[in-house]
Amino acid sequence: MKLLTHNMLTSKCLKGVTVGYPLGILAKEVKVVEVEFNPEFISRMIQKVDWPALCKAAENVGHMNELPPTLVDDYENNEEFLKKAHHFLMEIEVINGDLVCPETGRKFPVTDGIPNMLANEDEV
Amino acid sequence: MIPPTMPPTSKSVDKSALSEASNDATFQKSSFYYGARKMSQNAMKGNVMNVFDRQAKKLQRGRTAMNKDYRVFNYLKDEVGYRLSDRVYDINRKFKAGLDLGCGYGHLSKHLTQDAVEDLVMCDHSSLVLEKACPPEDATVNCRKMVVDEEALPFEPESFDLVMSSLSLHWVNQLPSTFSQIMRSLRPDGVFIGALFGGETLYELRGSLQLGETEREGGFAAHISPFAAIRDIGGLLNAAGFTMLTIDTDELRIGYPSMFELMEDLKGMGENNASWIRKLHLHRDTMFAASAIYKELYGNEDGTIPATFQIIYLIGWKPDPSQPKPLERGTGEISIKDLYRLDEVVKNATDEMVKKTAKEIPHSREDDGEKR
Repeated sequence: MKLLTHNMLTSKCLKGVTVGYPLGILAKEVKVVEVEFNPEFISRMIQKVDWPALCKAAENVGHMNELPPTLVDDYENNEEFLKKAHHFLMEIEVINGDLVCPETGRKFPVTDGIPNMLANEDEV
Repeated sequence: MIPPTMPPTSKSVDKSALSEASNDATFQKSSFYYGARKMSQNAMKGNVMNVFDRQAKKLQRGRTAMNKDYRVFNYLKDEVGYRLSDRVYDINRKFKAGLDLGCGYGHLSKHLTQDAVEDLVMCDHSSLVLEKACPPEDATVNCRKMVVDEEALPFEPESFDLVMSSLSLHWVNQLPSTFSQIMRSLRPDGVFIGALFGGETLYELRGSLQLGETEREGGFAAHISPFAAIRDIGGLLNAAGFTMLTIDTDELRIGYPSMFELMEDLKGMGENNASWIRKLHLHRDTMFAASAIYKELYGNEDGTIPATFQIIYLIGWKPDPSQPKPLERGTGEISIKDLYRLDEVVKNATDEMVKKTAKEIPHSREDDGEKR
């Protein structure tokens, strides 16, 4: 599961959860997979990314303080920043672990890089 | 037949009738008792529109993935996926983020390229199916997989520009809720493109089983799950807030040697019945009777039988100020009463426009030349 995927996931589908975002990450196995750098794609994606949530996710997978806490101005032309964002969004993958609802503590398993977001009948 | 968009009638969950019937040992043994009891429990929970057993459907679909020939059975879903991908390409836009909801084995996703969508999330209810799902053949599409229930989408609002669903939403209990969730997960001016089975699907099989069962057992149960009617879909999409709707249908007729091959293929696709009130057992006599009736009523001249699949294709957009809007009422210049003499009206309008243009241009080109 790439951190780009994590950035769009919420546990709001659970009963009684009001925000459910961002989900915590309990990573058991993290892999860095090299992905071809595409600056146009990354700059388009950054527009849609919740930056504080990405920083928190990076912290959860053991990469503390490696991302600037706020978005850099004129990031489209800042290749160094785009490469860093590309690394975190596209190359860091949680292979096994859990995603944790911030309000209920409910865990959603991540197995072989695929998050399982199914809720039980009584939870919805 | 209960359409999935409507709650079951009070008859189907009549508690007094159920309690009386539950004393009858034969009724207790029947699968209908289990289904009706379960449906009754769900209705009592306030979850009235619970028509399908989602857990059973997940198991049925997971079972198809364990079959080594699982690809052989997917001809119908592959064809519809291909046709739906065509509709994605008809929209002259490159989508940044797309979602394939109920992707199955990648029937739709495998046809998508970087020209259509840059970043794709493939979702399915069954992890076993998802493991074997084909990602897009174009490796430049950034693709990710996720196990998701179509009835409870776990996405942040405005996560996608494009949501696609190919033949998976007909097993959803609360279609209005799913449409609303899709709407919420779309960005403004995002589009939802879907295909689902319509009410005319497998009408031959439904009729034959009903007649065969009535003849052999003196009554019939629902063996084919209810499908949405095309007239309901537009209303549901409108209610969810979609605009600029396009809904059309397609009928695929497929020939089979007999009813048994058709049923085997449906099982291989993971499309066996999953409604709560399904009857779990069909007598052999009933099956043979239904097969004979099918051949007699609908059979082709060459001895094969046809099966009709009605596919409803739908496109709906999330509203955005940039979208074209209809003119205000009363701004029309031509009455609908004049429709029968349309050619004449168009000719008159054209003549008037020519005259108007001539008045606005004071000099001809020759005069202009002389002045120069």
